[in-house]
Amino acid sequence: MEVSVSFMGELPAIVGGRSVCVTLPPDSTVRDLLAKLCTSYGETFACQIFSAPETLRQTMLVFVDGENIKGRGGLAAPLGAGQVEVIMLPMFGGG
Amino acid sequence: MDMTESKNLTRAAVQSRVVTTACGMCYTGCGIKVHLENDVVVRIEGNVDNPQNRGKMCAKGKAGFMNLYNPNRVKVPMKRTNPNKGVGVDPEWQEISWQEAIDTIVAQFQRIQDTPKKLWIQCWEAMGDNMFWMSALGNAFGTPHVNITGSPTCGKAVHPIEFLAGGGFHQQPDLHYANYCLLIGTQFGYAARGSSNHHNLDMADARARGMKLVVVDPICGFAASKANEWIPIRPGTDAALGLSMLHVLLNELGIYDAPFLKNKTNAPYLVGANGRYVRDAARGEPQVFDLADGCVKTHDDAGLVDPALSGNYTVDGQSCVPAFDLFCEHVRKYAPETTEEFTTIPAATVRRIAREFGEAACIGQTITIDGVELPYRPVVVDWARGTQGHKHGFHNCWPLKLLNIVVGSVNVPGGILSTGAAGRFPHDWWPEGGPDGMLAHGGHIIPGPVPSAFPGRTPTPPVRADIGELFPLAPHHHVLHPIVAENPAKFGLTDADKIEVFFHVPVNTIMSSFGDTAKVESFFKSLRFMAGFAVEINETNQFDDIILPFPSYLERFDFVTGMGSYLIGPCGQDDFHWQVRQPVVPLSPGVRHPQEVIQEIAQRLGVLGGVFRVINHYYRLEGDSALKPTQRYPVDNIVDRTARAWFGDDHGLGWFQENAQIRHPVSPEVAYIGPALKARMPIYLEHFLDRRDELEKVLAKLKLDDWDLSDFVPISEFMPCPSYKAVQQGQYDLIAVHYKFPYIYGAFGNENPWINEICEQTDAYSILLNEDVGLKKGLRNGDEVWLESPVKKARARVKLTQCIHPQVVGVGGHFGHWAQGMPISRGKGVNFNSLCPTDLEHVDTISGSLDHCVEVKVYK
Repeated sequence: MEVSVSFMGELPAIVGGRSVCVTLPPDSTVRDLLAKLCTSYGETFACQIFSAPETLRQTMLVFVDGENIKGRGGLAAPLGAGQVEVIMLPMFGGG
Repeated sequence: MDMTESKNLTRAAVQSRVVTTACGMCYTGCGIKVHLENDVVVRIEGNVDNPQNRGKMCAKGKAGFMNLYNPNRVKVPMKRTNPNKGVGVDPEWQEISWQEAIDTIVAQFQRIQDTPKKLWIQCWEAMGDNMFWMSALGNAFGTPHVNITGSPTCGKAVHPIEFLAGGGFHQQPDLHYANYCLLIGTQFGYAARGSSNHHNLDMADARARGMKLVVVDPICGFAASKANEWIPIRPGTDAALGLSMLHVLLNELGIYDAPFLKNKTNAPYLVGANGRYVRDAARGEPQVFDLADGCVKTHDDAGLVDPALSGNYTVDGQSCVPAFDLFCEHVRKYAPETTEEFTTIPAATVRRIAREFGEAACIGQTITIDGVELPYRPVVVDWARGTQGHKHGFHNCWPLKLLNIVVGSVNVPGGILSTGAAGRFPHDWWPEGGPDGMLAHGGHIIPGPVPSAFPGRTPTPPVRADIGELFPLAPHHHVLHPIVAENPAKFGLTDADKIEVFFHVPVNTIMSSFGDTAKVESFFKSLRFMAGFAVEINETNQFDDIILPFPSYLERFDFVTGMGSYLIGPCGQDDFHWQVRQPVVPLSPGVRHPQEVIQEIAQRLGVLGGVFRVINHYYRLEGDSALKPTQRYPVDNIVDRTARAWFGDDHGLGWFQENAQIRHPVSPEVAYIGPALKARMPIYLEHFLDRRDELEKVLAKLKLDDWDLSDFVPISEFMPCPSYKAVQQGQYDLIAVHYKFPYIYGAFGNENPWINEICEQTDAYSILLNEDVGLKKGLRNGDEVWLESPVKKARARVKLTQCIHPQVVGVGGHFGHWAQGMPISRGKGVNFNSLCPTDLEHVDTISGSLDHCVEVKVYK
């Protein structure tokens, strides 16, 4: 399946672009997609996405077809129509 | 017609009305009632029904409408016609249309659209919603350089520490129950901090019922002068004091809350000779020794009864001890006699206040509130900016937090409380545990990421222009921008990585976000394009290419009216409340709501959907409430739909305009979350060792051999600031520090004529110098002097006083303005930040804080 991934926040600076098309086997999940992206973009990307295996950093938001994956099974969420947004929110500061 | 008849006619013609809204003169957001006559604001008073300020106001809030009618307000977009930039250079402004202004900004954004990291966006305008909208614009555009902070020091240590060891954004003494309060480098309850109008009353009540207040500060300011005791301290030595007090409590007096340390901290975690936890083979979890059955178990073992705090153990052939043992042994070297030479606080005084603190802790006692039994620890140590702004800022503060932790006075009645950490209305939010059973996810009603110092991030070679990747535990790193810009190649960056476009809110970045103004000026001049909002033309706007007018808070709609309602509100059982901001007067012709301007820019850049995605997330807008990228929304519509989404369909904008605020009672369990937290807080920072090891590898790749790694230690050491060393070496004889006035603190006050009058009447524009020291220098009160630091020489008027440490110069407020648009404040006082060297040697490698104590000379 073809998946269209758009990046926001810190990620375009790491991957070198705002979006990418990824080809994955049918029935792939968000977990599969992120694993492929980590392979493609290396440790710097992986460090920003995961704080531990299977654990997204608190800065990360992932939407599939406009819906937060938190409501679709998290990393096990299916990729639906293949429109994925991977967003890295800025750290809230203060002072 | 006689004179009496004339007066009556005049009165009859006056139409009076009162509008209830939220103050915007600082980031707190007090409830106010604005009185108008014939649609002109004539008076502002506090709203007694608002729990934030309970009818009280500060001078700045009372004077706020003078800003609305400031004749020098920017009310139309402008462009500079002079391409030359610099301090003292006239931009030669020309008024332009909104279309030309936005066309120009959009064109500059489009120029870098393929390399969005060339954008730096400054969002720190915490009075309303605009901060979130600016952040969303930067995020959707795809830049990592999104600043949700303004200061080079404020918040740099307290937020990472509080999320690490409390669960909320900031800390706050529980003045409702505390009997002993030690303030260090803060004027909490008197002159500073969010919700100050609320705290000032609580502080008065606490003092009236007998709470003892001890203030440790280089300056006997508003708080110290009203305290039971002022203890002057040399700047930047707070860690030495804290470590000495910990030694006295733990090793001399044996006062600590053992059950709390065993069950709510990592004090019992076994630590091997390599400084790491001894983990179980199966799950990799830290282990403890259970005194109940003599077995080693994981920290989360359901059968764990009595974890040991001391002793020598062997686990899988590895010798280990509980972290608490290591900690007690570590602080042993900080006997008060040892630290006295640094702090200048007599050893006997340190012992006395440590004993007073420990004895007042009531360890083991409980209190029942509304039928709920809770631990009772009526002692509290509180600290804030004064202790954070140092070369070793994190470790200068952490021992002070530990004083609360060792006696168990965290998030319980009488102790230190976490602000905004938890709630059950109108949403459900609560801090959560993470790896190793430690507190990892702070509570936050706005579901954005929060800057905890645990576990931090894995360092990687920088792609950011502020090299934030090399500061894996810091909340933010903007202070590095001008340092890196001088030599990006040193950090593996190229000219292609440089910032080119800067877009900002009205915060005065050049004066307040860095140190050394000359270095920031050079950085600003290196940027190809700058644009920003302006209230009046301040020093940062002087470098702008395009200026956009920014509305007064008396003209605005905001759903978030300041940080007082969601991040730094009053702790304890004061009602949760929410208010919205509504315009008191119509928006000035030519001025637009910034949220609507941002939508237009985003739409033209093709990122409106991304902006709405982030806004919908922050504001919890879902389903029909969510903003859709097919259209732009007027700001009142956004406030209305958000209010309905949070509080129900019958609580839209109209309800808030009529009723001002919604209130909700807070239960004891929500007010005092400590007992219910299912996570531990640290006394031992094991993960600092991991981040250090990872960072060392990255530094080696970058050949940054001189990087200071001394702060990556699991237990704090006292490390003096560069200013201490400079004075020891005799190059300088004084250390300058900044202090706060209640009528200047927090935001837009400098160009207000009433605030200026207060400053002049109270001699606020002068610098403070110890009277004995001044007389020895041949100085008299009111003399004009030179104040010279390594990077700045400023003219100042000196005020001699006994209320300051003899080695210290006090520089208050946010003065020293030189901008065109600030004729009232121009040329008055000294800008403290400009005195501070801005280089890697003065930046804390943990918190990213810039050192804010600087060696100086004072002479005629």
